[in-house]
Amino acid sequence: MEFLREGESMEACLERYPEYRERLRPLLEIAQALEGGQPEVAPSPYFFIELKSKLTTEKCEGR
Amino acid sequence: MRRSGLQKADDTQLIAGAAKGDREAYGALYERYVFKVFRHVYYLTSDLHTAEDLTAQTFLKALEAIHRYEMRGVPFLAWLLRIAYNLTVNHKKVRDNGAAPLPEAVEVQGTLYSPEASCEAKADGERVWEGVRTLRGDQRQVIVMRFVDGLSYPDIAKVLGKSIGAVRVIQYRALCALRRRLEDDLGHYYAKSRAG
Repeated sequence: MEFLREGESMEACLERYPEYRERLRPLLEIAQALEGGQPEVAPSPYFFIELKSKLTTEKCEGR
Repeated sequence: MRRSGLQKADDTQLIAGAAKGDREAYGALYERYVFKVFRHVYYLTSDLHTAEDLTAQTFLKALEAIHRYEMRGVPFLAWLLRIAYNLTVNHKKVRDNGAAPLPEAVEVQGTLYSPEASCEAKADGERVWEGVRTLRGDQRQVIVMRFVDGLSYPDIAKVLGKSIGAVRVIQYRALCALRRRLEDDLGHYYAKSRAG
């Protein structure tokens, strides 16, 4: 997976471990899908601003 | 000028400032990491409002504890994620009234692979990430830290308090479970197609 991450092709990765080729391929396919297919999520702008204001101006407990 | 300086400052300088009570420095750290923490928690909880709530708690707790953060330990992001993870586990415990920390799923031992299914099961990202939601707690955690947060194995090991070897094993089992799920999904799909 490190090699995949560095841009090596799946075939090239599998060539490195020919004895495990059949077992590795399906797992590398999943890893590849995980690398590229994350749905984008973000907090709401209101949340972002509100929390920043709280963290930078209000007195927080325990300090 | 001050704001531009803070944006350019490295984590070490900002942490040192925040530990001395400089809230603007802490605000800069917040801006740098809030989206990463939010995404991490979202992938663990699958709920936007819960993710916002737990993200807020994470940064409030981190503010209280930042003077205890050690620069030579885990990276700052990993430290934040450890706080976020503990809060997420506690949240689940309360919500589930003391049940298992994160949703459990069927444990898959070994690699289940069929060449035929492999062609069909071209793992598309969306489907695989759907599957991540069904993984058991530690597996989901490792997958999120590795593929969402981009943490190294040593850093994941530090966050989870496990050995690097254990983290690799958890990741291996998670990938096997995801593969199995993908093949099962496609099996149901083809069975339905044939029936219809």
